[in-house]
Amino acid sequence: MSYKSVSQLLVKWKQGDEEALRALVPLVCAELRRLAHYYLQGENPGHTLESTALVHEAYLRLAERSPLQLQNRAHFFAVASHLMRQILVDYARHRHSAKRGGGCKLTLDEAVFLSRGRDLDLVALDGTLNELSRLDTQQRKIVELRFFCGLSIAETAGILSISPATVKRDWATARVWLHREMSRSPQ
Amino acid sequence: MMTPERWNQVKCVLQEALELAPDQRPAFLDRACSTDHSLRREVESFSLPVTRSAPVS
Repeated sequence: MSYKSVSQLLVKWKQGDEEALRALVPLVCAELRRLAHYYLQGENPGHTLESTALVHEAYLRLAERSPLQLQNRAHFFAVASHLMRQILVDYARHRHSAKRGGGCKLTLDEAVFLSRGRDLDLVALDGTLNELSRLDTQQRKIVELRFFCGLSIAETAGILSISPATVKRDWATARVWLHREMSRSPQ
Repeated sequence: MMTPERWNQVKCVLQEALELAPDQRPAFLDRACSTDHSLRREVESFSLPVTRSAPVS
């Protein structure tokens, strides 16, 4: 892929060109999928996906070839966190079908999610995130950045241009909401 | 189905409740939800830990 074109597309997107985003997503997605494949090849029998490391490395690989400004880095994470969600959910679905209903629970980087050490049904999470997005787009973005990109409260606040206190409150209520909805999901 | 407006209302109560100690939550919910029983039920459906404080004698 052309890193120069990614950089140019980021600039165009920043200027409000929605077409640039449409062109950008497949490029970044391809890189993320390549990285995801690399990581999943070396995965442990426990299927622990290092989602944080995955996206950070994707960012580093893009940034090292065409240095991005902070605002572009923010844009990158906004795209990457959404892509990571799609990639991981696709992966979980694939595993689910491969096992013919044998479940698709993964153990994710517990530092960034709801409760420590719990297996997580990513397909169910994806559905509940879609519902959360309908109710509160900002909360959906916060969950994607915190969970799928592993960003801190402060980093998430910087990217969304809102206060850390707002991120903290929205993250807390998003967690209890997701927890309630996923407890209701049929197993 | 919950509307974005209703979620915003529930969220505001939840945010405050989450910042309180469990023994302070019931009294807070009494005040915050007042006579809006459906709001109270909605907030309680999130199963936040609550403990009833000992009655003041």
